[in-house]
Amino acid sequence: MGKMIRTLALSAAIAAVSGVSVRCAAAEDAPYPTKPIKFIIPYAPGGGTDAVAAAFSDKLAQKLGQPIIKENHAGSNSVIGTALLAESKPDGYTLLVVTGAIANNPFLYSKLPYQTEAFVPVSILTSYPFVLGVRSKLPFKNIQELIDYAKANPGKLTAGTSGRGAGAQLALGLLNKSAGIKIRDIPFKGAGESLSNVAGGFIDMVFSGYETVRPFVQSGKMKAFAHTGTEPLGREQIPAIAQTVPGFEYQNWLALIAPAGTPVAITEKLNGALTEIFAQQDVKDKLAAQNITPIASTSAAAKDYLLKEMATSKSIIESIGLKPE
Amino acid sequence: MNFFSNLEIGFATALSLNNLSFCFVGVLVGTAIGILPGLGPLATIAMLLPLTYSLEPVTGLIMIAGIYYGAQYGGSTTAILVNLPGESSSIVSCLDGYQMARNGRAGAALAIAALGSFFAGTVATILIAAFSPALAEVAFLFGPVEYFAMMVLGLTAATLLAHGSFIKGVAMVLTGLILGLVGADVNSGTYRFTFGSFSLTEGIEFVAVAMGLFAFTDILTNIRGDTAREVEAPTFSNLWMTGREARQAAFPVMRGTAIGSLLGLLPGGGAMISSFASYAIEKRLSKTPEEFGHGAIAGLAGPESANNAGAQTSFIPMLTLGIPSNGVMALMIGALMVHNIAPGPYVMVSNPEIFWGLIASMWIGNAMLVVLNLPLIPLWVRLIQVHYWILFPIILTVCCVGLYSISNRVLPIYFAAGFTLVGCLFWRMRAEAAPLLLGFILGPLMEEHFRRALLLSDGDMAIFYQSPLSISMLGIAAAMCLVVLLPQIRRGRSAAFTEET
Repeated sequence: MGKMIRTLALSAAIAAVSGVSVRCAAAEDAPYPTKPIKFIIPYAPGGGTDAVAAAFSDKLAQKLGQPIIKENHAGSNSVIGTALLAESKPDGYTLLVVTGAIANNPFLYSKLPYQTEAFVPVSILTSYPFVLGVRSKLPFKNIQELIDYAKANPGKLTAGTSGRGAGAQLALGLLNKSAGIKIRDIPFKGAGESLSNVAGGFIDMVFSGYETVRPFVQSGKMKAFAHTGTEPLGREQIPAIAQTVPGFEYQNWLALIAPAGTPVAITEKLNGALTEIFAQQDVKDKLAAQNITPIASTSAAAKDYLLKEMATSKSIIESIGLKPE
Repeated sequence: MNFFSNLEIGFATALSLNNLSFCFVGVLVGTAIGILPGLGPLATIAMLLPLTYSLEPVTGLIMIAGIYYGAQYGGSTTAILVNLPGESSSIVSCLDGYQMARNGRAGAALAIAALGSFFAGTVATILIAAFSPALAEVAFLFGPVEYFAMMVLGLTAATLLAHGSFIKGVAMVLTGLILGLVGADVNSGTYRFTFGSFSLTEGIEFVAVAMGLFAFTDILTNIRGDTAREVEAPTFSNLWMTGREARQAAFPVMRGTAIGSLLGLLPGGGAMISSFASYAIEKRLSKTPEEFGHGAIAGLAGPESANNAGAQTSFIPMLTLGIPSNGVMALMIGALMVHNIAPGPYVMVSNPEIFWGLIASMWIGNAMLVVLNLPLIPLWVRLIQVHYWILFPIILTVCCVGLYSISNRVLPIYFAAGFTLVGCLFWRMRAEAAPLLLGFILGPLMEEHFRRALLLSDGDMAIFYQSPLSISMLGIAAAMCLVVLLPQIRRGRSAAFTEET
């Protein structure tokens, strides 16, 4: 019995800690912060956002002299976590690490429990493009051939996306619009499922992160000859779609956001620390290995970026016929 | 793919200190809950599931698997010592195991159960290792059409082969289907039955449903029967079986292993069905069928091996096809999904360490169980005597902490409470809740693949009979319906006729 109770008590303790990881750091004299800072991650634990947040949160905690606690509040394309931020005090002790979804959501949901424009972005953290993984049995060798075929056969090619309003769906919508073609959208629950369906030959292509497409390219099940950024990508120097379709660009990004009304002194302090961290070589190397670009913008630039992205999202979302609901 | 290099990956993963200790925790907890009557592996795994979210996927699976097959061992201990089936699959072990204990052969009975289970577990693990890769070759043959056909087959089989009333099984599956509809629809993004709440857009939390229907319901229904239990203490001087007993057990163990390995593959509780099947076969083959029910060794050895082999091979459909053959497998799929690993043929290719690590850990876990079961019997006997008023509050607390930690929200706890009431209602109506869980998981997947297939074909239904795989699976499902339903319809008719006359 003693063993049973101990096992259960242990499980309880581990379960209680599971959603929350505490990073401690040496204290340092400063007016802000004087207590631990909470990062809301609006996605399930273990995702890509967690990984990037881990890349800088330890160092940020060291610089600020206060531990940073990460809490995952997943659900509804980040709306649930973002709503929690909106309810928090604007004192710099609750922040949100969120993807570009925050710019799409106002045009996907009619009753958002917050005002996206009112938030104070601290900094844009990173950005990375999608790679287009194409079923290897298709005869195309570059994006031009693919576009020519799609023009001659509208609606014949299919692309897997990760559901309503997801980045891959918007990137596909933008490609359809800018190249004047029609590649049909087949929604899946996540990138993983779309990838294995391309590998199995059931759908023709998928927009997904470089790291996720690469194993399929190496095993010969996919070809990767285009991506949604602007410069040739990675060691393979994958060409950008923009080289064929001028002006085409779709970037995924990650931002650090504070509640509405957060004082400038606080965002400045955070921003300064982030800029120093992202200038460090090991951080750069870590992110470059995944073809992620560290940005660390100023708060004002981040705000501009957010507003600009919202405008772009709006036009893409409307062009693919999605309405807020 | 090389069989031995795969096993090497597997053992390298399974033998890491971390995985080894979680495997041990798993089999220990499994044995404990197996011994406790009423508290099953499904309930335990449901409550420990959130805990595995913070672990490496393979570590989490190793622990869950350990609980599952550990419970098969533990269940027999209770069955033999106190004539209480700790597990549904050990009901058969009560028949002759308890009689052996009463004849003063409790030690031998426990030893036969443990060693028979170990043999069965080893053989079944080898089968998984040898045949799963062959099944994985079909990995890339499965598109939306084939998946749809497979879901139809799985749901049909689960409904038809479930024990208990057929009509209740169908009702449970359908209820599960409806519950599974809640949330955002994958194909269109439309919200269904969310009543304007953002908290429901991801659907009803699966763990909350499982905990409410199984763990909490078990607790509520067991509180009513907290009476003193009579324990038949084994004499340790005669723990080991005699040579004659070992010879009598040998063939039933082998037959039981074969039956269990085969039936474990079937959806719908293979472990339990196989223990009944094995008992029936042993009784038919026996030269002394009159001994059955009075402490026949074959009547214990066969079913014990069969339920353990069945428990092991029921991993094959889950690991290679992503099809849960029972509630525990459904939970394991849930655990994989949390880590963004879509269960299915692809796991073996994309995450070999998960696949082979789990298989290697099964064999290690089985060995641990033998070591654990024989010397720890005195402790298990004392665990049976623990009063529910101590145990249940602890379990409830751990469950609620677990539910909260899934997404740092209180909502899942309320859901679990609601489903507890539903579960008690089902219990009153003698309706099995497991088909509901299968409907809840498979239903939405079936719809998703059905609509995706039609999206690909531009609405042409012909796509479903253009694939040979899909045709054969749909054909098997139809045939199963005919085989099971025809006698029932005929019986229904004759019943109607007799009423007329």
